[in-house]
Amino acid sequence: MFVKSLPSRPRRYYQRGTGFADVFLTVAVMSATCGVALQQVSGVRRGTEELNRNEAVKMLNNSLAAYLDNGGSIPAGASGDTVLSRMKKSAAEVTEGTFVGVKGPFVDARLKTSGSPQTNQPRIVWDSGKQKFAVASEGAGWSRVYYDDAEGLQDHGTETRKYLHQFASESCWVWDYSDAGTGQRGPLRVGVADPSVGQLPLLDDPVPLGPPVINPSSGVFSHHDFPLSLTITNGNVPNSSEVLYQINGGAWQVWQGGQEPLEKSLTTTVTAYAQAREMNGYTDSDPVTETYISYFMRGQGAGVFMTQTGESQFLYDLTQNGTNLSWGKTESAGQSVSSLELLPGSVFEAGEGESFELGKLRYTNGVTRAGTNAKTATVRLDLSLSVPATGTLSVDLPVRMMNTIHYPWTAENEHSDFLWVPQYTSLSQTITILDRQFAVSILAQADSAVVEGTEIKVPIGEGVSADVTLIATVTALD
Amino acid sequence: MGNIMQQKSLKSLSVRSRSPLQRAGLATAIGLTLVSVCRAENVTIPVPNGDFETAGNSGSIGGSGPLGLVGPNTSASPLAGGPWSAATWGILGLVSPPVITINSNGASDGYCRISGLVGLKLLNLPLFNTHAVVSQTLTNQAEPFVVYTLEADVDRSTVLSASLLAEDGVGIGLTVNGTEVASSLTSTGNFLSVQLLSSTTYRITLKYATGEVPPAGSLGIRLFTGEGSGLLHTGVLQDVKFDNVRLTAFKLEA
Repeated sequence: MFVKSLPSRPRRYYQRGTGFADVFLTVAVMSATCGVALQQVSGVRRGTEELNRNEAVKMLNNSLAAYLDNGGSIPAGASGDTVLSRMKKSAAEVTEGTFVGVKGPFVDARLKTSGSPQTNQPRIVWDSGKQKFAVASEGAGWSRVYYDDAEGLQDHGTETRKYLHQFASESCWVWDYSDAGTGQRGPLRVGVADPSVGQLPLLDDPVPLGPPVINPSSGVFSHHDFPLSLTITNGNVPNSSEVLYQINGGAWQVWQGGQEPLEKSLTTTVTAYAQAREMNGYTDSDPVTETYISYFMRGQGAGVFMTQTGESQFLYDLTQNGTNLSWGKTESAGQSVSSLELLPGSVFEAGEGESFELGKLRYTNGVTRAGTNAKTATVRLDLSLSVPATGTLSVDLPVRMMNTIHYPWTAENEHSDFLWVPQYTSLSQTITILDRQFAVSILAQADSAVVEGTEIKVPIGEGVSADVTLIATVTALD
Repeated sequence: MGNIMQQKSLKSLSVRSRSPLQRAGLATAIGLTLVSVCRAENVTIPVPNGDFETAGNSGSIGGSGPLGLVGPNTSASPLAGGPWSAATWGILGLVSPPVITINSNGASDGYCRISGLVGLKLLNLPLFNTHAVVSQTLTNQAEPFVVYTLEADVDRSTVLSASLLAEDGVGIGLTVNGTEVASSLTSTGNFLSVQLLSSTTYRITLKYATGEVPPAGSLGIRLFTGEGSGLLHTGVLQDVKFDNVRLTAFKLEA
C-alpha cells in the first residue's frame, strides 16, 4: 500500500529518491514500532520477581524472534545461556550509524536464570534444532527465570548486527543503492499462490497463528488413568497451518488428528505449535506445553530368610536361594519336614493410598521328631523398585513358630502348629517420587488368624499348609 | 435270601473279583494303614530280668531275726546275682521288716514277692508302715521329648480296687540318676492307668514325658510297698507280688 502510493508523485521528485518527509516518516514509524514491540516482547511484569515458566518461554521466544529480525544471530551449537546472553547485548557502535532496527538489548538486562533442575522436573531448555526455547522434563536447562537488580547493572557488552537494510554510509540519501538486499523500494516478499491453500486477503504483515489446544490440560493424574488419550485441536483457519507436537522433548511430529495414547510415566510433557503452511500469510504460533504428572511406584516383592533358631536338637535346611526354610528330623515312614516358604508377589504398580501383595509366607506343618524344630526366623523382605528409580528397600520381619508336640493321648486335631507374624511392619526408608515422599507399611493377613498383641497367630493343621499374605500400602507423607 | 446276601458279601471281599481300580484303592488303604502304624514308634528298653525268671537272680532278704526276734532293716545291692537291688525297713525296732523274695520259679512264672507287710494305727489314724523297695538302674539315658512307659503287674493276693492299691502305698516308679521322676502314687490322668487283669492282679502303667532338656542320668525302676501317706488297711502280714516289668520309649513327634 505504501509502495503503490508513490507513483502518483512527480517523476522528477521520484527520480531523486525519497523526500525528507518520507525519510522522517519512515524513521519515526520504525522507531515507534520498534519501541512498542520492544515493550511488548519484553512482556515483563516488573512487580513480579520470578516468571511463570510457560510465560518465560513465550517471552524469550518472542524476544528471540525480534532479536533475529533485527540482525541478531545465533551461532551453531549455542546453548540457552549463550542465546540469552546475546539478547542482552546492544548493537556495536561501529554499526550504529547505518544500522536500521533496534539497537538495544531484546530482553530485560535483569533477567537471570538458575539451572540444574531435579530429574524429571520441568525446566526451560534451548532446542537448538528448532531454535526455540521450550519446556521439557529432561536435558540441560533452567529451573527458574527471575529478575535480579544486580544483574541489570552488569555490562552485557555489544555485538555487530547485520540487517538487510542499512542507512546510507556514502550517499546523502537514506539508502546507499549499492547496499546488498533490496535497496529498491518494493515488497520484500512476494507471495506465490498455492491453489491448495485457501485464498486469503492480502495483508501487509503475516498473521500470527493461534496456538493449538492440547487436551487434557496439565495436571496430576492417577496412574490408572494411563494411557491418557491425547488430542490436539487447531483453531486456526483451515488449511492455513498444521500442528506439530513432541512428547517429552522427542522428535517433532505432525498431528494427524484423532487420539494418541500417552503411556504411563511419572512426568509426561507434550508441546505443540501451529506451523504456517504459507509464510507470506501467517507466522508460526507460540508453542504450548502441557505437563502430566503421576505419582506411582512399580516393582516386585521378594525376600530371603536371614536367621533361624530352633529347639535343642534343631535341624534345618535352607534352599531355593534362601526362600525356603525347612526343619525337623524325620525318622520313620509317614514323617515329613515342616517348612516356611516365602513366595514373592507379582509385579505391582501402586499409587498413593493403594495396596499390593508383597508376597506370602507359606507354613507347611509336617510331622517331625520333637525337639528338632525351628522356633524363630527372620525374613528379610525386599521391595525391588523400577519406578521411580531402580533400587531395593528392605525390612526384617521376625516370625515365631510353635511345633506342637503329639503326645500319644492327644487327638490329630490337636496337632496344629502355630506361626506368629507381626501384624504391622513398615519400611524404614521413604520413597521419593518426583517432589513427594511416600512410606510403605506392611500388613500381615491370614485365614483363621487371631491377633495377639502386635502379632497375628496363625494355626496350621497337621499335614497341611497355611498362607500369611503380606499386604503393602503406599502412604504419602505430605 | 440271607444266604445269597452273605455269599455276595463274602465274594466282594475276594481280591480276585475286584477291578484294577478297586485293587488300587485297597492297596492304598492298606499302605496308609501301614504308614499310620509305622509313624508311632514304641521302642522297647530292655529291663534285665524284668520277668524275674532268670534263675541266677533268685534270693531274699528281710524278715524276722533269729529265734523270731525283730529283724533288722536290710539292703542288698544287688540282691543275689542281680540285676535287682533290694532294701527293707521295719518299724522302730518293734516290727520286723518285710521279706523281699525273687523267685524264678524254675524259669517259668517267676515273681518278686514282698511279704510280711504291716501297718500301725494310733487312734484309728495311720501311723507307720513297714517298707520295702526293689530297684534297678538301666544303662539308657533319659532323652529329650520322649514318653517313657513303665508297666508292671501287681498281685495283692486279695480283691482290691485300684484306688485302694494306691492307698496301700504299693506302686512303681521311674527314676533318673537315682531320683524318682514319676510314681504311680502321684501321677494322674494320661500318665497313669491301672488295669484289672484278674481278680487280684492289676497292671499298672506309668508314663513319664521328658521335655526339651530332660534330667541328666540313667533311667531306673522302683517297685515299692509302704510308701505314701496311706496305710495297709487290710491288716498285717500282707503279700504283694510284682511281675512282668517292662519299659518302652515313644519318641514324640511335632
